[in-house]
Amino acid sequence: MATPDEKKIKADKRLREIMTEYYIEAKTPKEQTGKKIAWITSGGPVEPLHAMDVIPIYPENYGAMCGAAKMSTELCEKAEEMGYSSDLCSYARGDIASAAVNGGPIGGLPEPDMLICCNNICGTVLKWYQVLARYFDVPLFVLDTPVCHTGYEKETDIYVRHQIGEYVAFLEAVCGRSFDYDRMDEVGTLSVKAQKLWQKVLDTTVNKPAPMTCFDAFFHLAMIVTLRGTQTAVDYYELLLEEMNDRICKGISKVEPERYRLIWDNLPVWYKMRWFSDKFGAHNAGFVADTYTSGWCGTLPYLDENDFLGSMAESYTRIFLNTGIDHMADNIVKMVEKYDADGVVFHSNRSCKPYSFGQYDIQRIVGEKTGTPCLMIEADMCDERKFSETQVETRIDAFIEML
Amino acid sequence: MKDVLDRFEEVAENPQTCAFEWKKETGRPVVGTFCSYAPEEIIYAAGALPYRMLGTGGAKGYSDAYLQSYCCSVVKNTLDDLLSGELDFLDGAVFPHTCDSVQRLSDIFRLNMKNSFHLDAVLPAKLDTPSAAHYMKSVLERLAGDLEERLDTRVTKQDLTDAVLVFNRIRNGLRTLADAGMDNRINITAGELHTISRGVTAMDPAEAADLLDRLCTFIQPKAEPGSGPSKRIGLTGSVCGVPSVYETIEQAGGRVVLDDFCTTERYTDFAVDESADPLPAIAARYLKKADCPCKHSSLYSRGERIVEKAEKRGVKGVIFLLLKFCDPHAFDYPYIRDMLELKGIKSMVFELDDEQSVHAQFRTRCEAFMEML
Amino acid sequence: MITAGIDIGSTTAKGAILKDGHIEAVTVMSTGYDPKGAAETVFQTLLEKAGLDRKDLEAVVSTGYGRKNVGFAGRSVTEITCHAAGARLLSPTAATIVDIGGQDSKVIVLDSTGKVADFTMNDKCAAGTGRFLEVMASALQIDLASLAEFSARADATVAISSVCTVFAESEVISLISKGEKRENIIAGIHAAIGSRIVSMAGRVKARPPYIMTGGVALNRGVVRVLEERFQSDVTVPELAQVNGAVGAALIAADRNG
Ligand code: SF4
Ligand code: SF4
Repeated sequence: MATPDEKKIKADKRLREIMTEYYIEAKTPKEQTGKKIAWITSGGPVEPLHAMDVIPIYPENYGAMCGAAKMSTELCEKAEEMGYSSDLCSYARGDIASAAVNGGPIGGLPEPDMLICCNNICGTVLKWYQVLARYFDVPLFVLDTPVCHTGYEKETDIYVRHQIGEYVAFLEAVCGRSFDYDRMDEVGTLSVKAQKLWQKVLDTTVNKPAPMTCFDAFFHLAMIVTLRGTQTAVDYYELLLEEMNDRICKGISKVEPERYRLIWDNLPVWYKMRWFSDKFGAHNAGFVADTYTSGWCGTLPYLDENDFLGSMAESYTRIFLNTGIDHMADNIVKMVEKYDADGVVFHSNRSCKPYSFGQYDIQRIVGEKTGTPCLMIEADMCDERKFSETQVETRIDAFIEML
Repeated sequence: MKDVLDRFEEVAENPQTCAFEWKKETGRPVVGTFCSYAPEEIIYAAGALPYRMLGTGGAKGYSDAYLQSYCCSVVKNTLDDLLSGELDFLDGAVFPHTCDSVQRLSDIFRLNMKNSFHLDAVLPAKLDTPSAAHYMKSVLERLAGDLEERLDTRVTKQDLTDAVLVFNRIRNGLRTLADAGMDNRINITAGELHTISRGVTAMDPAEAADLLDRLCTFIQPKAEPGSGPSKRIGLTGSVCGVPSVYETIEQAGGRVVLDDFCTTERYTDFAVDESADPLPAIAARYLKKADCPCKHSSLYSRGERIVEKAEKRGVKGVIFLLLKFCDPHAFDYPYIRDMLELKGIKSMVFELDDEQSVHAQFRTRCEAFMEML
Repeated sequence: MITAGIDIGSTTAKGAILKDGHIEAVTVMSTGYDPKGAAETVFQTLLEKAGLDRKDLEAVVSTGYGRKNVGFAGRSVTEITCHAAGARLLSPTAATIVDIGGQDSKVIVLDSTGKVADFTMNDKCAAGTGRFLEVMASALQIDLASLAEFSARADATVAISSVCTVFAESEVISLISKGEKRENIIAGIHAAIGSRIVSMAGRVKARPPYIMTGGVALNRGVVRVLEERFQSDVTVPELAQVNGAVGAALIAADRNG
């Protein structure tokens, strides 16, 4: 049995340092850094921003931070006071309120010079960024990526490719200088590298016992979301991968003994991560994979390292949330096989309709194709008021008894 | 006039039966659609009746096994209709891109429909750029091709032009009647207008156009004097299938003079250019018509349009009817409320749980709102 | 001029008789299952108290959730407008009225002349109403009326995070089984109601001075939470319960005058 100290992932510390540096730079007055700030959606094309030396800020990452710090509910209430319905995505509510009152663990995000919204994750971000654009009165670029219900059509490719060009022109206009295509090539290469490393990190949990759980992945995800396209991210994931392989050699895992291997679907419940991890851990059940964190490397097959800009259209349009639910179900089926999982837990997330609606069909498909038991838990990723601990607890216990 | 109104009411109340009867009589296919962005002209040109699925309601409960409780009632009711077999008469369904919930509804339909085809028309979410315009046209071309294949037919330019003419007549007729009704030049209430617009969604377009033309002949050149002390009210919000709200507002002393719902204003706005090549002209209309909050054009377009119309029609107060769990409208409400307030127009928001049944509190709120104005 | 106001709420029926702007009689009773009968009884009691006869009254206005059930009233006006009118007489300086009744809660903002400038009501969900307190009191097995007393003895506020009444009830039950002090749980319940009301108040840009009416105004615990959250005094007028009825009687006089 590993000691609690051995069980800890050492790279955590490095991640915290990098993220702190990142937010310190972002919050440094612009006159000192000389850099512009863009707020961008989590599925948005960040690489061109790095190529133009623009600091990308992810309100969704900050939303997760607020959620984990249990500061979201208060912000959500503030948004409701402003007139936003309590049924809207809690990232959006939290961010809109935080912009108005400088809320959350770091006292609000630095004001944007531009907004980049890509609707490949949902239509909510489009509405949310419209609100932000009215509030901050800064230029907004919308990258419209049509949903690929059954496939990627030719006209979609033409449309999105065209918009990538518009995006470049937008950045040139806002930054007041021409686009650096050479820098873009470098950034593109680094992005692909980081994504491949991230995929490898996630693959390490194929091992029995898994060297980490998805709750760790939710945390280490921060870097691939915010800093992909930088050397920092590549270095970090190399470090993390090394540590994971080392843990495998030493047989260290988070759940000991690892009796049940599970898969998590949807966003985490940020304010209850610890609780979930302990609850399942107590039954010797560990989450070896999830559909969320793998979303940031799932389109690698469509990316061309040698023509990053050119392949961006397809890779950004075909992310799993932008596909049909049968495709999303197949993704889980493959995961069950790959990770040799014993069960799937679906987080029915009141905030995220595109991720949650269809889960019943997905559950049915996964059940039919793999015979794995499935559990549905209703919660919300940030708004604690939508979570009933007792109800969820009972369901978890019953589910484990089924395995 | 009464027989025309009766016919609209008959269809509005039994849309499924009426569409099914049409199918039996004509031997032609019926294609279900969703939302005011469904390109009906093309479906009609392909020889089918475009049937707008609005959900008949009654909380049948079938959809509970497919959709969570936090889904809007329009989507849930429509899925209920499918699962209960009430939509079995459809030969196919076309889903345009709108909100997140409808994207998933489309997937669920595709996986659960029996013996009928399913098509997605993934329209652009952006409406304000040349590349989006080009894409819009390509999607519609693809749709026309897909329909030809599924319905085993040819869609000629002439078919499209004919369809455009009919739908222009319908939208024009609805608009003319609405304007006349609101100026008191015809004896039609906002509730009746709503019923007419619902009837249109499930009726042979040619018949609808003729009936509307007939109704338009009753329009007086001059306004009837003395509309009483009623307060002039504007309505906006999610798609709305509850005629009883009009009654409630009228009983509370209000008069609806602006109706910005999805089956009314947002449906009738903007005609297709009849002199242009039909398909690109149809595409152009869907880019230019009054936008719905699922789309992106300018940041203030919806607010500006509502304020402008409200001022033009002397609206005293605006009632926002928001359907619970309808995100796009819920996001737009605060800024439009603020824009109205700047112009001194008061507003009230009411959240409906289900389109088909209005909570008793609505009456109290309406009355208090009228008392306040 | 003599007028009457009858306010038929979901739990209590209230009445007031005014003579030239002065209160002659007020009464409060339970509505029960018969709003029509309650209205009649309230009316009789009022007349007796004031020593008047039906024909002495020049106008009667009904209000409240059962306002349409008052056959003898000349007209009905919503409780929102009536509360504003009542406050003009009972608390002339008030700018915001928080009214929490059995089934619904309202925040009414007044303009400088005491007229309704804006208002909002709870949605269908019962959180933030008297009903919520009732459910919680019964889960805790204590009397509704003693909630305030208990919360006054709390040494901490246990967070009740759920907003839905059903969820909150199970949350409360599990807190009890975890051995949390009832006092502290109740403080948490009051805080939860406070949050709902504050968020409603924010939507209509409420501002001080605040007054509170409705049955829940009798619960000092809730009033105290609101004072903290609003960072301002929240006054409960002596005749808070009949504020709406008084307003209705005033409106009745206004029509005639
Ligand atoms: S949580 Fe879901 S709805 Fe919210 S921003 Fe993310 S993808 Fe969109
Ligand atoms: S009512 Fe709103 S959420 Fe429902 S289908 Fe329409 S736009 Fe979508």
